[in-house]
Amino acid sequence: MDFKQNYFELFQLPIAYQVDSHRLNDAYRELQTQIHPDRYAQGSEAEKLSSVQASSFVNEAYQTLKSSVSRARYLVELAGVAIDLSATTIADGAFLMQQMELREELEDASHSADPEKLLEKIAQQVHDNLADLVRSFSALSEPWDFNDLNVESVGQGAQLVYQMKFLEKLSIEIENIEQSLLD
Amino acid sequence: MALLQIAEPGKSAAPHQRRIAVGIDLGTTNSLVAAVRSGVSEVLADEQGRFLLPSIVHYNEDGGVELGYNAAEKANQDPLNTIASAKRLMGKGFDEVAQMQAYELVSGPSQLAAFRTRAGDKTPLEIAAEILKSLVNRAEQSLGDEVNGAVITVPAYFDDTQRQATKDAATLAGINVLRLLNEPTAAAVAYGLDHQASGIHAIYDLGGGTFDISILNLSKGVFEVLATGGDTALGGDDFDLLIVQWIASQADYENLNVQQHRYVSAVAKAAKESLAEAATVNVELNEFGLQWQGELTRDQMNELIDPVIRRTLRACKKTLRDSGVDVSGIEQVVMVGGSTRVLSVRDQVGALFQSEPLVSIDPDRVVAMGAAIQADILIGNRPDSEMLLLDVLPLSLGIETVGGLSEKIIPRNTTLPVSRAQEFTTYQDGQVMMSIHVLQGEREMVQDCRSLAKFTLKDIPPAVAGAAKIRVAFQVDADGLLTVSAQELTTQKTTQVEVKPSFGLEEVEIRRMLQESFANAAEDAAARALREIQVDGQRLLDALDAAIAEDGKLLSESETLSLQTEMDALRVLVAGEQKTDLERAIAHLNKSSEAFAAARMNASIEVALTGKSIDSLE
Repeated sequence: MDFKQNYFELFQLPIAYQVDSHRLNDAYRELQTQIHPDRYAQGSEAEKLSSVQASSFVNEAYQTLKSSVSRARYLVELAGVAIDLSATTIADGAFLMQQMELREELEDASHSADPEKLLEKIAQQVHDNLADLVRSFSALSEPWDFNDLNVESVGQGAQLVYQMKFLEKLSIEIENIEQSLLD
Repeated sequence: MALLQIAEPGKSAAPHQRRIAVGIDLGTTNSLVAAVRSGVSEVLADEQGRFLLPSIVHYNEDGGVELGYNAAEKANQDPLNTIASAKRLMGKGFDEVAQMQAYELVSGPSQLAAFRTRAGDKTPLEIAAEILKSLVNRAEQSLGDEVNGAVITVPAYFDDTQRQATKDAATLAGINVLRLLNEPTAAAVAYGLDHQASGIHAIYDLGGGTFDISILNLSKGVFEVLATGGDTALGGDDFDLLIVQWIASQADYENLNVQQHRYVSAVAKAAKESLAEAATVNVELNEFGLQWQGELTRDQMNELIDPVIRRTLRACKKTLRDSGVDVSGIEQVVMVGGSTRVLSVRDQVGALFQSEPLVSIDPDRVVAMGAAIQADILIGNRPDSEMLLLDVLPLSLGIETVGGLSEKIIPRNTTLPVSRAQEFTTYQDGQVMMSIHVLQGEREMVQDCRSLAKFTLKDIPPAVAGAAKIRVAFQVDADGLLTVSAQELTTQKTTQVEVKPSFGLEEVEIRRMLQESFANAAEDAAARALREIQVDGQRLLDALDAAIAEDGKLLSESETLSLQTEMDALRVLVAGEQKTDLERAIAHLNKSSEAFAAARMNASIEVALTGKSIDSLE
């Protein structure tokens, strides 16, 4: 299967952080309509396998481009900088300080009288911070020319991605705590 | 027997000949079969005009098997040989369900729970196979033709083992499974196509023993599941049990025996059903040594069952969060499953979703009807259908890591099909083997997740710790079933994977069951196995004939010739009885048609994106 093309090419979108979500959705649906395993229920085993692989690839591509965090990561990796989450190093001291404070608040919230209200406040904070990072990344990557990449700018982009992933993880933790309060 | 028709060799079935496919709702309490006739999906009735088949199997003293209403009649007199609600135990290990009341349970093959009956130990899978066979028979009688394939529904929240058990049951029943379809998605199909619905819908499906909630986005024939949740051990049976406990405490009965318990359950169920219409109901016990009379009001019942309803509402809230949609974004909530007849359920669900629940299609029939529509499409009767079902993985898949923790590899609510790969390395010098424990569930600790399988990777080239790189690929198909493969990356050698399902049957077990089920039948298992392979061969030939007719231009002359030569050889073998040769030829042809399949897929992607037909791409 010829899946060497990148996710943007797959959906015939320009390689850029800003994505036209209507075009992405339409292209995704059009592709799945053609290749989904339901279209090959009467096919040979080879066709069924081929369809599952192609359909999985298209799903993965779609999910990656749909989320603003994973799209940023994908773009940085496409620009040649691998993101290794097991060895994250965040250089931004102010960001780290802010995160430590948020974590402390989260710790306190679980033991407070009205945890749900506090959790919601922290979740909102995380959400806002994430939105800021998305804006920064968008501005940073705007001038990227994939034929002539500015290595330093891409490196800064990678730093932003690490920060986004950091916040994403925190928001999953908040959700888990909220969930345990519901149960 | 539900086997496919085999066209005479050389005369493959005409491409546009209508084929028969059914939708089967294999329920905890009742099962149904539906088919599309003259463009309309309808549930098929038995000779007495009854649509439901109680999911009950009775093994009688003469060595025979009775089903449905006939079996239900035996439930009180012979409870241990009359199995109901077997779906609750599908794919469950003996240790997990040993406390289940009302039956004598034993540890069957692969530590699966099995019912001890006079006909031997029966796994839930074998019980399900009896029900499936009976439904297919009903369909063949009713439609006057052989059934070519079926879509079988499962609770959306079924995990991998429960899905696999359902598929194995169908294999045992000799059914060609076109797809396992999630029950709420099936209901959405029936409603969506009927009502031209669009927007975001919630499907609340409370059956006899399972509960599902799915949030779907419907638009122009595309059914995209955004999130799904539920509980596979929660349903109307729990309402009944709470009413039984109330009766027992009112009547001062402490220890009911199996027979008495069954009897009181039936009385409780009847009382619950009456309260959907009446405000009070008279409850009377006068059999099996029990003598009591009392009154149950609807308000009293609502109070009794409220904890169960609340549990379903909690799951709804959680799933809504997962879907990223808030209540105001829900266009409509659809009620599915017999237990949604309980008025308090409708009221509370309506209140949660702030809209009047949709009940215009019979909640018992809607799932089978939706499944029949998809079956009709999958079998190829509606080539112009634009319908597309995009379902999700209900529970996260992960692997065991150091410290007994589960590391998620594919999170829940990921759109299917999906494939993900993870790289592993050795932690000791010279290590040549590695064990991987695959888990399903949301919790952090391994023991809180469901164990799916243990894999042993062998023949890893010995090297210093951390040097070997093993890539393990997880693939979940459109049925929600997982397969795992592994490759050693430094040598590019595909590493041998030994699959040991934690709670699943190995193929040899299914063969053995098949053999047993033929003990009293005219046809023997070997003959059936041959016929099934002949059918497989014919199906492959048909598929390739159709593919060549459509996209033969993607092949070179010599490729076409070599494919045709192999196909001609297979045609001869399909008509013969050389099982081994036939199997080998099928496997070979599958292999040699891979490149063609891949080329067709790539061409399809081109077509999708450019809107051009394949002809104009040359």
